[in-house]
Amino acid sequence: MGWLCGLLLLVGIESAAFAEDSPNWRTDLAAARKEAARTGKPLLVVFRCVP
Amino acid sequence: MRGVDLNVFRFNYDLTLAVLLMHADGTIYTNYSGRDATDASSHQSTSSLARVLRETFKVHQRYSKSPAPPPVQPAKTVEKLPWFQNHKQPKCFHCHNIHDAFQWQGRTTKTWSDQDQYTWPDPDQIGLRLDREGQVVAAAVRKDSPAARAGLRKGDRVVSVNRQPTRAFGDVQVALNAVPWGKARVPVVWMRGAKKHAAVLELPQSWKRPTPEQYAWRPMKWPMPPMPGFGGRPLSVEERRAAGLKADNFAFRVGYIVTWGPNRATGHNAQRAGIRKGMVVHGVDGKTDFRDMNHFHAWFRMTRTPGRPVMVAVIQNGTQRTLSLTPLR
Repeated sequence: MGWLCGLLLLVGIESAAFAEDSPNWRTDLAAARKEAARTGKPLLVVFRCVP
Repeated sequence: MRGVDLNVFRFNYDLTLAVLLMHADGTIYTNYSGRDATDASSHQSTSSLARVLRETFKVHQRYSKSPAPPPVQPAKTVEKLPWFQNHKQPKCFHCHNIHDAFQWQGRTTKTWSDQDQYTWPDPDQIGLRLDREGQVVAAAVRKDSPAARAGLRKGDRVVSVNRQPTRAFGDVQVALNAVPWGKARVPVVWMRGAKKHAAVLELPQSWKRPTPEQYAWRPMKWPMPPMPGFGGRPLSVEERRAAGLKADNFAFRVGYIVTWGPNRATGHNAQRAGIRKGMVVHGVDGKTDFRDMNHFHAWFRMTRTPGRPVMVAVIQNGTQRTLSLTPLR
């Protein structure tokens, strides 16, 4: 049991994130927000709780 | 959930999956989450998520040109909630632990109310059944419901509720959750084909209180009194027939009686009433059509009254009888 929180910086529908490569998930929320602020990209934040 | 700012990341913490699409400044564009009592993925699919992502990316591009960051507040994290400041913290904070902390704190300080218990209303509570793939598309509109009276019909695409844009099922729940308890008039906008429609949802006094069927899946139900103090495994159709019951008569075999932990008084109370492990329960106050054990537990907690006897129909050693159980406060 546990929780998994995955964060993905969305790089746009034309990118490899939606193509064949696996997304590059981050797990540090604060660092991901800083990266998103720096790059201008949106964030996709996944909260996955297995009860 | 340790370290997660609950002021920013607000969603129904009873869920097993929530996806928030946001700007780095904390603005949430879309809340892709939510479920109903049928299944954890009742309102989620990869295809609908992909479509919502594409729509939201356009929103991000527009917003980024002139962002309006939300006000900065001190971070509110689960480990700092009053309950966990005074009690042992789990090694790992599950999402539902957040609701647990709110509820335990509220019940302990006797400040807990229905408004705290019944959060994140299902759109079905206003008569709007949303489609999984369409997310905000009406799969059905219940007759004589607030949604029907506002003019919504099957196939309509809801684009805003209470002036909040809605792209996903979770957005509709966010908007409804923000409506105060009680009678309310909530603006709603939808597209029917290419034509935009706007109306007002006239919500009655108790609209935010779900039915036991709607609330059954919520882990938040477990600490609610009154509790039966026992539970078990549902009987299969074959087992029901073998016990002399009709196939559609919900029944379960008592597999546990709560004789441990902070709620052990409820189990002892059930034992005093005659509940025993192994006996079959096949009706409570005449109700025999529970969907599953979750429904039974939600119904008992939401509709029975502490201090008022409940008649439990049981079969033990082939003999049918009725036990009188008076739920504790």
